[in-house]
Amino acid sequence: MMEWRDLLEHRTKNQLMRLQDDLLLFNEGRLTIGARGWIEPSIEGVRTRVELVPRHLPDRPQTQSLIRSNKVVPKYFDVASVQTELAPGEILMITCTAPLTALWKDDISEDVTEDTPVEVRETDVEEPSAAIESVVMETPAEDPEKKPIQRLGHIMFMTPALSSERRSQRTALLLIPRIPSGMLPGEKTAPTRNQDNG
Amino acid sequence: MLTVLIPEQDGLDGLIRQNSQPIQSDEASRRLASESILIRILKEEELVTVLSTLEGGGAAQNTLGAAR
Repeated sequence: MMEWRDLLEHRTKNQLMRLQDDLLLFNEGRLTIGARGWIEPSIEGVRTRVELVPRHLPDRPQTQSLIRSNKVVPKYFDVASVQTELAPGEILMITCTAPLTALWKDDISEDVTEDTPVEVRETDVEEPSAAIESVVMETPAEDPEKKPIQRLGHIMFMTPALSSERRSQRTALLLIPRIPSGMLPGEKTAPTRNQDNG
Repeated sequence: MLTVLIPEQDGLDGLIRQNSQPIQSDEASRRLASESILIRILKEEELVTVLSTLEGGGAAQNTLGAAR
C-alpha cells in the first residue's frame, strides 16, 4: 500500500468543523482519511510504517478563473496527521474518542451551533503506564436546542442514532499489515558466520 | 482493513484502552485525541478476544467488510 488510499469518507455540505481553535466551514466535497504504508527494516526487525493524513476535497475549485485552469486543491489537516510503525502481529485501530457527553444517546444533528469549548484532561486510569491522552470536550450548551460543533474524529467516525431505540455507533478501522514471510526473521537463528582468516 | 461498528456506551474509551496499547508517539496520541481521534495498537493474536470483550461489555461488534 505505497500509494495513498482513502480509508474513510464523509460527504460534506455546509459542514461546520472545529479544528484546534479554528472553526471551518466546508462546502460540497468530502472529508477523507488518506493512508499509505510500507515495510522497512529496523533495529528490532522488519516493521510496517503507516502514515495517516486527513483532508478535505472540495467538489469544485475554490477560485473560478477564466484564464488559468482551476484545480481542486485539497486541504490537509496536519494537526490530525500521524505516522507510526507496527511490529509483525500488530494491528492499528483508528476510531474516535467518546462523543460529547450524553449526546450519543440522541441523534447528533449536523445543524449545530457554536459554543465555548473547554479543555478537559482525561487520565487513563486503567492503564497508568500509558500516556495521558487529552480529550477536548465541549460543555453542553445552555440551550438544549444548541449542540456543540464537532471535531474531525466525531464527524468521521460517529454514526448518529437514527431512532431512540438504537444507539449511536462508532466506526473503528483496523489496519492489519501483511509482511511477506520471506521478509520475516526465521524461527531458527541464522548460523554465525565464521571469519575465514585463510 | 477491517471496519467494525461499535454501539456507543459509557466507558467505551476505557475498555478500548484497557485492551490495546498506545502508539509510539505520545505527542501524536494527544494531538489526535484533541481532534477526537483515538488511535491504538492491538495484538493480532488477541483481536478476537478484544472484540469479544467489547461485545461482552455491551458493545456488540459488527464487521462490515474486509478488504486488503
